[in-house]
Amino acid sequence: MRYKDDSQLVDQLHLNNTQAFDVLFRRYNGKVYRFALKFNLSQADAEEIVQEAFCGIWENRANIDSGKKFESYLFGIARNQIHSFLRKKMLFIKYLDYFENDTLQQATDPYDDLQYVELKQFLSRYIRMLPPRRREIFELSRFDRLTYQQIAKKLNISENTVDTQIRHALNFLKNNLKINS
Amino acid sequence: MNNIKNIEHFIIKLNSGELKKSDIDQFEPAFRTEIPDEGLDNIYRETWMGTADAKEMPGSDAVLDRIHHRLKLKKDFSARRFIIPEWYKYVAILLIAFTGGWLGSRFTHQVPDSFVESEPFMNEISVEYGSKSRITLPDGTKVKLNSGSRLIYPARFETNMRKVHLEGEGFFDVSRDENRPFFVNTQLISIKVLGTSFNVKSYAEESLIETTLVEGSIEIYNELANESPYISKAPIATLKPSDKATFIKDINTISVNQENVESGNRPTTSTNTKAGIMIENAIETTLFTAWKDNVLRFKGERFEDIAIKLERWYDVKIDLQNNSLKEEHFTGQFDTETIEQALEALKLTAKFRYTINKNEIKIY
Repeated sequence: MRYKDDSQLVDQLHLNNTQAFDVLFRRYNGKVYRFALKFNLSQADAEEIVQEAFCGIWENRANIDSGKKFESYLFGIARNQIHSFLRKKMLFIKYLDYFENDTLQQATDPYDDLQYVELKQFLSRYIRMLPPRRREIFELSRFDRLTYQQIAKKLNISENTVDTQIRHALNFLKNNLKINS
Repeated sequence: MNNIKNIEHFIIKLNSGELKKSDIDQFEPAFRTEIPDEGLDNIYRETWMGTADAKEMPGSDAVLDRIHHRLKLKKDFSARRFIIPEWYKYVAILLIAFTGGWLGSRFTHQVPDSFVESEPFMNEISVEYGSKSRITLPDGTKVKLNSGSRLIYPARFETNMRKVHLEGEGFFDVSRDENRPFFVNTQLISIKVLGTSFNVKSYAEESLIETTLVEGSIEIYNELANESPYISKAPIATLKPSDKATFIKDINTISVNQENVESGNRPTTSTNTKAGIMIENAIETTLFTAWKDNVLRFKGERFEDIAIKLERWYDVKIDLQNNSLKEEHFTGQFDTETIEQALEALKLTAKFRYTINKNEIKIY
C-alpha cells in the first residue's frame, strides 16, 4: 500500500519537488541506516552511507523510473555503497601488516597504484579526524614513506614520539573501522 | 562464484568482530569487483529484505539538513522538534507523520490520504536542556524525562504490547499488565518489562546505553534482532533489582557474564569486552535515579563526564580547556545550587578558573 505512493513521489522528484524528496527520505532513511549497521559499520559510517545514498537519489532522479519500485532502486544504491565500503575496508585489513610494521616502509609498495589511491581516499576521512600533529606524522610515514628517523629529524621530535603517535593513529583507524587485531 | 555459506559465515564474523587477516584472504576475492557477484548480491538482497523501514534513524533531521546543504536545496527545513518547559502541564503533542512542510501548497492534492493513514498517530515529547518533564502514558505508566531527551509513544497502545521509543534519559514506573509487555526501544537495545521501575540512559551523543533496575525484573534485547538472521533473538541480559547494565554501542556481539556480589561489598564489575554489555550488581541505584528528584549526583566521576551532565542540567555550554582537570575525579551533589555555586563548590577540591559569559562557560 505504501509503495503505490512512492511512484507518485518519484514523479514529483522529476518535477524537482524537494518536499517529495524529504518524504522519501523520512520513509527510508531508517532502513538504509539499519541495513548498513548489519554489516558492522560504525554509526558514523552508517550515517555517511545514508547521506551518500540519498544524495545519489536526488542527483539521479531523472533516471529513476516511477513505473518501477522505488525501493528496488534505493536498494541498488545502498548496496553499491556498502559493497564499496566493505571492499575498501578489506583492502585496508589486507595491507594492515604493511601499515603496522615500520620495517616494511622502505620496501616497495605492496599494492598497485589504483588500490593505493583508493585506500588513501578511503582512509582520508578518518585521518582528517586525527589531531593535526598525529595526522602529519602518520601521513609522512605511511604515505610519503619517510623513516621514523627522517620524520623525527624533520619535526624535531624523538623517534619514540613518532612511534607512539603512529601507534595511536593506527589504533584509531582500527577502532573506527571495527577491526580487531 | 561464491559459496553462499562462506559469505554468511563471513558476515557473522564481521558482526562478531572476529574477522582476522587470514579470513580476508578467503573472502576478499568476493569483494574484488565493483559489482558484487550473484552469491554476494543475494546476501545483500536478503539482508535488505529483512530490514524493517518502520523507524527513522537517530539524528535523521541533522542528516537531512546536511543533504539539503550539500545539494543546495533551497527550502525551509522545518524540524520536528517541540520544546516543553519544566513542570508544565502534561502536554502531549499530536504528531502526524511527516509534519514537515510537505502538507502545504500544490503538492497536497497530488498525494492521497492513505499516505498519512499508513502511519499510526504518535505523540512526541522533547525536553530542552536545563529542564525535565514528566508524563503519564495511556496505560497509566509514569515517565520522567531528563534534560535533552525525547520520548515517542502511540496515542493508543496495541492490544498485545506497549512500545515506546526513547532518546536520552528516562525513569519509568511501568504499570503492571502481564498480557501486554512494555518495551522501551532505544537506539540499539530494547528493554522488555512487565511492571517495574527502572532508569534508562541512551543519549545519541554518548557511546553507552545504561539501564538501572530499581525493582521488578527486565530483559534486554538487541534492537536489530528481529531484523537479522545473524543476530541472536535471545535476551542479552536479564536484570534483578539493583543491577545496572551498560551496553557499549559500537560492539555488536553480546553475551552476558554475571557475577554475584556479597551485599555490602563494593559492586564488582564483570566485563567482557567482546560481549558489549556489562552488568554490575548491587549498585547504589539512587546514584543513577537521583535526577528524577531534582538532584544532580555523581560519585568518583571524571570532570569531563561531569561537565556533560552540567551542560544538560544547567543548559550551558562548557569549554573545558584544562586537560589535567578532565581526568580528575569528583563526588558530590547539587540540587538548588546555581551553576556558579556548583562551580565554586567544585573549586574547593580542585584548582581551576572559569569565566561565565551568558550560557557559555570557559574552564581553564
